[in-house]
Amino acid sequence: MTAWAAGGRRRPARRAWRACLVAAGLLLPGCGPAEPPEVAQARLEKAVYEQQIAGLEKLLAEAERGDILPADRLAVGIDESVVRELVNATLPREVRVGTEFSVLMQSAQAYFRFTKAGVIVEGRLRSTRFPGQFVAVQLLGALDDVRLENGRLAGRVRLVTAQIQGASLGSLARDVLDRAVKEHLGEIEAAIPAFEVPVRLEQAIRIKGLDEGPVSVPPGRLAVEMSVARLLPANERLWVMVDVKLGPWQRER
Amino acid sequence: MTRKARWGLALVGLVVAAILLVAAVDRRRRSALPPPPTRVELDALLARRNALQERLLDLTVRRDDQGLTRAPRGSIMVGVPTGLTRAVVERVVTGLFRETTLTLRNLKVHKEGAVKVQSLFRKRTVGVYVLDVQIEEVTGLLEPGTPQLTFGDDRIGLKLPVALARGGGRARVRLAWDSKGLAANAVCGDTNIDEPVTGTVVPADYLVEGSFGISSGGDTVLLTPAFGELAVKITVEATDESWKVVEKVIAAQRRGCEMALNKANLKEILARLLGKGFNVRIPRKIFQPVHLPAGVTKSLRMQGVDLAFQVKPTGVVVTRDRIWYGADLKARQAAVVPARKP
Repeated sequence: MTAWAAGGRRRPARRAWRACLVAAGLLLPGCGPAEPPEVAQARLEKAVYEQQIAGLEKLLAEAERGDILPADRLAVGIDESVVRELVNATLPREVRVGTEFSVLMQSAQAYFRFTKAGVIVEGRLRSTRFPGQFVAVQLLGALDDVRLENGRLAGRVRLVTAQIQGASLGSLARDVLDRAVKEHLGEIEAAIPAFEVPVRLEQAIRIKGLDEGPVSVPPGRLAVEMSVARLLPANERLWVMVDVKLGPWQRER
Repeated sequence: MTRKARWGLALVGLVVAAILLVAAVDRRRRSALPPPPTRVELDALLARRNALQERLLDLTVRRDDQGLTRAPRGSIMVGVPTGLTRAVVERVVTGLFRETTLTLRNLKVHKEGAVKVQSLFRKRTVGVYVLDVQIEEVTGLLEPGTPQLTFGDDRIGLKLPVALARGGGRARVRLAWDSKGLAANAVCGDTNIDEPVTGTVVPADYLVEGSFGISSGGDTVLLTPAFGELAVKITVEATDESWKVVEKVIAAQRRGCEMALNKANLKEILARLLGKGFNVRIPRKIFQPVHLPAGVTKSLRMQGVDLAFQVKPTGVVVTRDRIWYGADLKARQAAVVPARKP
């Protein structure tokens, strides 16, 4: 009787204490819910608008000075649709994310507006444990490393963040998936291939020679050196400003 | 209070304490983030952004910076500065002419004549000559001056001064002298001179005039030449050193011959003959079409995928500061290139 009583006295107290711990645990911030998605979306929207406004203010100042399109620079304007087609030509593409998930990148859209060059890749996040199930995911990125290579304009997509779509997901599940994708953003980014813009910037102008009767002219070339000076995304077009330097006329053998 | 009640109270107390603790921690965490933006705030930011965009568009349209508003629209647009175009045309044209060589070979000039002298009562023929000059080779080099370019709506006018600057040649002079009359034959007889001579090209100036039409050459801006033929006359004069050789040969003749040959005035005859010059026609195709160094490409390979593009030019417009070219591109996946086996 004494032992049961003692145990009986101790058993209800232990249960109560565990309940407190569980209750506390559930309510602790680490286990508790993050901001609601609409709040996170609002913060993102504000950040984007502020960036765009800053970019436009700077561009306006340049426009007032007449500096947007310097007269001595070559200008190449690329429509959003071109980059969209180029990136989509290499999709769909699937990449493993950690040990349990994979991201199937299905389609991409480019946005060249308000001085920002963005890329959004739509995809599906899949679990190896539940192959038939998926969650829609949006990968948000920017155009990066646009450069001239052998007369061609090439660039990459740099992923900035990811957003799990799907209002029906619980916040805990959303957080777990969100974290899984964001922690492997670098691997996903590496799986998006570099793209090339179908613009040709020649490195030389060549003229054929002439040998006709008494007249003889050897073939020659004019070297053209080009480098990307500036990118300007605006009005659904990416403007690439290119510095050009001509070399002297040289006889070709 | 019963034991059960005490436990129950303790439990409630603990739970409340836990809740308060969590609330305090959460409030501290949330206070690190600013309050989320309201819809009103977001709408204001959006309105500001759109207003800035409108101002920018308005400024761009008003200024018509670089003629952008008149540029032909396309999925790819290229604006080549007129300064760059000017430099390309100048360097290509002057480079071509600077390297141009005019070479004439195996030309023959022939002249026959008689030399008469005044004797007591009449002019007497003392001899006849046959002069043959075989020009083995004469080369003329052109030197372009500074071109003048004028930009029009769809062409670039060009005026290029070109000089036949220098050159030289070598020839062989053959003179056959046939003395006439007893006295002349006694004094001189027949004689032949066969000597090599060299000459220099007499400089001359010319002006090349024409234009380059500006058009879309499919995937880039094409400058198409429209020039007439340039006719250059190469006139050669024998060098002093060469004449000294000929004069030395004449001086070596008998005195009577020397006088007769000097009377023939070979130098003047030859100068008149060569002074007529030789016409050289520089063909129009010395001017070739020039592709400006920026355009679109019709195919590329990306990550093992061959992409072909259908290019449809939308136009070429020349503005004060730029030549604008536009083209629409439509991608067609041509083939997937199989990966090479390691």
